[in-house]
Amino acid sequence: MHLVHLALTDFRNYRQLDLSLGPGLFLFCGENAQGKTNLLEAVSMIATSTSFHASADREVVNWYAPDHLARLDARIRRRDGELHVEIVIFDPTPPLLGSGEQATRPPHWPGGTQRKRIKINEVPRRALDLIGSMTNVLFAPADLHLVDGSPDERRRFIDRSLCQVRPRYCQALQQYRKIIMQRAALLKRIRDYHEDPRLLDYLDERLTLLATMIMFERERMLSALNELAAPFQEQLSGGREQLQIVYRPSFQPHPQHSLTEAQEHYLRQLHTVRQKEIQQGVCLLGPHRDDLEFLVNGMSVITYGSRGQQRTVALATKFAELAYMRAATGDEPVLLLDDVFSELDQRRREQLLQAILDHEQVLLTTTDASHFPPEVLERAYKFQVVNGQLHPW
Amino acid sequence: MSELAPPVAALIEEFSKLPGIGIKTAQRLTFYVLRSPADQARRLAEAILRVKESIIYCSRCFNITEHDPCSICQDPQRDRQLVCVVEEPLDVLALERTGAYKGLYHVLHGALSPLEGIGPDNLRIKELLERVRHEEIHEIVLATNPNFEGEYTANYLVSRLRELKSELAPRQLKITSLARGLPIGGDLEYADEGTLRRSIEGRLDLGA
Repeated sequence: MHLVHLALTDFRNYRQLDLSLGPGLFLFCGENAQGKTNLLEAVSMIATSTSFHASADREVVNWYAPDHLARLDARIRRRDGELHVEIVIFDPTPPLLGSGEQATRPPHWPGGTQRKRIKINEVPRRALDLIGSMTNVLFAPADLHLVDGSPDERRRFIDRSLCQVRPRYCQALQQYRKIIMQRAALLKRIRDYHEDPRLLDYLDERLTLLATMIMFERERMLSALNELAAPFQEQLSGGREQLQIVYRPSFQPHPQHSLTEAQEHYLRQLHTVRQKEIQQGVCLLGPHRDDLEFLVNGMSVITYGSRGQQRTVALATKFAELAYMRAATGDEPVLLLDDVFSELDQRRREQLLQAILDHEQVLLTTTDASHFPPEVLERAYKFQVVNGQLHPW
Repeated sequence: MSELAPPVAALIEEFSKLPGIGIKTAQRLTFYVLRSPADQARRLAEAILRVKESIIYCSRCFNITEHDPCSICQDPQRDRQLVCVVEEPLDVLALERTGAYKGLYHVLHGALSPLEGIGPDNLRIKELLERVRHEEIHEIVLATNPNFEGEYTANYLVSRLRELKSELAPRQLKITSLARGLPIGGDLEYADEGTLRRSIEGRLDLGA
């Protein structure tokens, strides 16, 4: 699939953008803080309805937006037809600009104005319905630290693609996060105010039920990813290295992998750590503490691998993700590359370029176009990004 | 707002403290009051005062009322063996409008939410358990909202009521909840998965 058209109004530093796209490589070149990443953020938002780096949706609304609304409008061509997606995001607490007499007061919006409205083919839809309409794979500098970064980074990696492929997973994960927040608050209340510990029972039951679903999907995705990543690693390392991605759940998995007994199995584990959880006031077990381990030729890359090897593994894993998304949806995801070339050495840059060149649609940002060989520049659609405006060159 | 007369500014400020009312609406309301006849403004002021002075909580069901016990708790036509547990007084109103419920109520005044610091002690849960102990109650209908906080509260109540059961013997206590399912006049294809799943689980035996 690919984006045919993207229009933005008051999205971050884009007051107004009208961009025609199509299959091929699109290169967005510019200095820092001109709006390169914002563009990819918008595309990613079309796919998942949330931003990949804002903590709240309203952050994407331009401060000077007269009506405190950001609008995204995209036309997507999929294998099975064309899709029109519109998203409107409302900022209920816009900053007061200026001071005293000059302060601009926010206009009146009726209470209960929806923070986010989504339409697919002109019909209002829920955020959950949007997921899967357009899939994308994002490759940002943080992804190069998939191996040596925090476990949080690795969980985000799994969740980002699984959520796009399986809306049910996304729903379970959202519910799970809410349970974890409530539960952590409760653990602290039990410790500090001697709240009734029986209040934990219902939360434990919900937690383990959702954990069973989440872990099952993660397990399944990782076994698929493993098969796909191995050939990439072999190719990137010149046939010398065997990659294995190992799922390390925080719950001890059930020995027979029985789905029906798994929940009971997790509940028992929760009970054994209950006192410790209350003392510390945090949720110690569950998918929010899962991790991945990368083995090359049977050895842990984080302990024994060189930095270069860690990069190669990260690259192979991202290639596998792309293949996974393709296999899971039967369509090419849109590939977003946010300034990753500057972080790679010459050899890996060429390997990455080789892998993406024939992809259906690639949106790529960079500060320095000289990283790219002339034959690539020649076939790319090139734009200069200056202060929220695009200039073809 | 320095040019505004202090009484006007004060009223704007008071209005803007109300839920769902921003500064613009507060200004509009203030100027509406300013332009309306003195009589109407007095009625508004009196209504606000009266609601604070004369409305109290019923000492049995904790619904809002002018007289204690409230008119529902005093009604001799009501089935006193049946008590419906709701989160808010407005829920009582909604159930009363159906005319289908003939029992008594118990208003919790909220739902459990550790994140917002609402535990069992902040709700009228102790009072409910006391009522079950001392009144001839045979069935508790849990009618908390079908969201996370509501289900959480209902679940906690079930566990506390179950503990109470042995104390009550030989009196039997039945614990029920409102059915979850499809809205009347709705379309099956527009129902969300969660609702549909619950209505499959709670399907009715038509006795054919």
